[in-house]
Amino acid sequence: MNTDTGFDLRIVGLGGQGIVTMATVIAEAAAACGQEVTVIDRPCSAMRLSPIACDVRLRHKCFAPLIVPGTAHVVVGMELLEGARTAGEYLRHDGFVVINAAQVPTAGDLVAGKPYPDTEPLWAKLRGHGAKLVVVDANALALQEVGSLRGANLVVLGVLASRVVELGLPTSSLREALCHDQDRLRCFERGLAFEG
Amino acid sequence: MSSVIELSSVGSRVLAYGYEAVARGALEADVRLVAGFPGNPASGTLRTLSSSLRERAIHVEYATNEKVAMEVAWGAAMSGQRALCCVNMLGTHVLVDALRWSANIGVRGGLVLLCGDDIGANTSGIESDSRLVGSMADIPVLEPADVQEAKDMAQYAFELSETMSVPVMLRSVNQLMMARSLITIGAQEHHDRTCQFGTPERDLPTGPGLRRQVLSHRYLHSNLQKTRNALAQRDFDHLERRDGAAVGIIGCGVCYSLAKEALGLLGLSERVSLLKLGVINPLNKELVGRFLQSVAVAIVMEEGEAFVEAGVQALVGEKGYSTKILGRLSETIPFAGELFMPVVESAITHAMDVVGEPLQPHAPSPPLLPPQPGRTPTLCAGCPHIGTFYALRKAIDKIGGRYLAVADAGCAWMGTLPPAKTFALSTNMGGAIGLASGAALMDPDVHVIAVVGDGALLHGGLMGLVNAYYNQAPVVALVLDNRTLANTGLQPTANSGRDAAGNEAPRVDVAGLCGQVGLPFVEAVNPLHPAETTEAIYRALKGPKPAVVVAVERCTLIRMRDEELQGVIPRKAKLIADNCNACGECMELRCPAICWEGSRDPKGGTRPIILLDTCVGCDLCVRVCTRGAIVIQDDTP
Repeated sequence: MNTDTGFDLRIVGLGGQGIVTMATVIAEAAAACGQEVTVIDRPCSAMRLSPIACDVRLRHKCFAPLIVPGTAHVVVGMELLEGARTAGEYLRHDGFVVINAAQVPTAGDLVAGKPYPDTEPLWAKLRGHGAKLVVVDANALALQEVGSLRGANLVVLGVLASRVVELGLPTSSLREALCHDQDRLRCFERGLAFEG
Repeated sequence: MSSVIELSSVGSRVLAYGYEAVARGALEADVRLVAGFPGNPASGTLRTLSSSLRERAIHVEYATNEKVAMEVAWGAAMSGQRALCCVNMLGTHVLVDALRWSANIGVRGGLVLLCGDDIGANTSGIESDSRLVGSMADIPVLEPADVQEAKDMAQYAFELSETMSVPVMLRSVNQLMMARSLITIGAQEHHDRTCQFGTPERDLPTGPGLRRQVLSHRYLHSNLQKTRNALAQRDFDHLERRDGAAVGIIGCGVCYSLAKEALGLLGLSERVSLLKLGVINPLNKELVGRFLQSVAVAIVMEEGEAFVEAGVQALVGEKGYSTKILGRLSETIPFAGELFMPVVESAITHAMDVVGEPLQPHAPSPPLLPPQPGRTPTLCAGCPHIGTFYALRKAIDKIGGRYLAVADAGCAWMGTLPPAKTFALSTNMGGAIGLASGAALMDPDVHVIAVVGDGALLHGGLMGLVNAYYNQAPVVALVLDNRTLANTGLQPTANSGRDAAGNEAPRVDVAGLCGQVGLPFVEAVNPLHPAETTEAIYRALKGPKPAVVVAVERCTLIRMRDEELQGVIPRKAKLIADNCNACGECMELRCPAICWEGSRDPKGGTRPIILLDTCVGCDLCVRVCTRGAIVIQDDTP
């Protein structure tokens, strides 16, 4: 009955982590391949460290940019808690999570002096449902590659491109969408080569 | 320059945001003046157009508020030129007066009002629906179903405005304006018109003894009905009828696209009729009537209030149709919030039950994890407001007694959230001083403070301040002069010293302006110096009122952007553990870059740590530490 062949990614993180950029690169690559694509930005403010999500929907026939909870094929997280929360709500049970191991405490926890929560049990539960998970310390890899956290998003994109073949986008198109910027390409390649 | 606004890209397919598509449509219509005020999801249209200034004879401006923006745009339209005014739903409230006047008197050049409605209040303090304002002003309201139609409608709206001699509202919502998809770029029209200010010629109805004002209002109603003839050539409304369908959906704007997707997902594309409505006001009664007669149950799907639904219900009553109408009024769809796919699907499922064609039950899969705690936005590390809010709390502690602090719109609202949590609430743009005045007049024993950004002060807060002075309201206004509208994305304002295109512009002196009002106390301070800021706020609380303290320091995001361009090496704070006694004073700043190492032990023993990824070296914690335990190191990381 449902003949939809679309592929949905929800990319989440905090303001300043390059969420919109990652969504843009994927969308531009998809468009260049002649695929239908919609993206929607869901910021909650213009502030640094405020949560932000981008929904990328590939190969759908209709314009309906928001992903339905429980149906995302992939959740990409640039921060552990944001990724876990989103995966818990949005991921389909056999979906794929690509997560940056960065920990950014919430403002409330900072003042309360609470430690950063242990996300390991959450990942274990997700795996138990059949979800696949890749954790990458993209911040560290980006620092090694370009001496800055800027680029961590593209390390994660590289991991996504190499691990999730269902994304259906050739790495050459993704490279093309990185506009021949050497630093960006280095981070992306580092992610592509990531093993772990 | 974004390819969306390049003229050379005619015929090409580009990925565009809804707000960019509107900008492109306006450019293709040869718009000559664009004025607006930032606010998601319409800010992007202004930003997109402001980047095209250098190449074209087009004026783009950030006005001090939406009412002024509407007046400026109307002035251009009265001069025979095409003009666009861009606001979000809360801005629509502000410009109602100017809109209603422009409709009554009319326009000569096309005047389009873009209203971006943040349904779901993703980035707004409250939720609202601009369409009701369009209806109140008796003007046409158009709403696109997807990004391509946003461009097409924006372009066409100027023509419609000229044909009908009234402004046209183009209303869209978050789900479309903040979304991107591929659109086809069209060619630009050319309208070389001589500027001549004048009112449009109108064939006003006559009525014995009726005043011109009444006749012009009557004209608007008959004019609106004639809009249908002008719109007949366009396909903004259309019927997708399915033979034998008992259920139909009226999809308004983007809800048409949602309904279409939902029907596909439910396997009902061939069993449910669909009516796409792009013209929200006036309602296409003939088409809606035909549709209603063809189905037993019709679901009205729209974002915002039950506006179209009420019109459909009225039509059912007027014509005596037997069609059952489902929507918000029937409680099939909840009031408020974005229309989201699960809601759309459940409404359709319910309608199929009603007509006796129940669907195979399919339970939505439960979430994989129980709900995890969310995250609220916080002030950015290095934000001068962190220093201002800290100083305010210190000054309140020092003076003692009860206090009430209210925040205006903008970044000030962060002070209502953890971890700062200093203010009782945040208000409408420019509203805090008026609100504080009323509270202070009722309870003189409480210290009442209004915290107002510079953008909010120049937007309307200044009138509240003048009023407080004149009517002797004992309030303290704390003005956050960071030289930008930060909360909506760092847009310039009248005290930024730059215009929409980023060129140098005259700068309004906020402290000087407050001084000119005649207030007994006006003092400017640097909020990155907490001790002197605390002192100034304390003196303001103690002395004659109304008093104003202006905290002057540019937004940290602008500082960082400027410093990066200048090649300044980022600075970070560093804790010298031997000097730290874990007194927690730096934590009192509630800066997102400082936290306790491990959980805080009530007996002491843990120390603050500085999160180097977050810290931007603003010096605030260096200055509040009494033991010299925090220093700035320049050679990070």
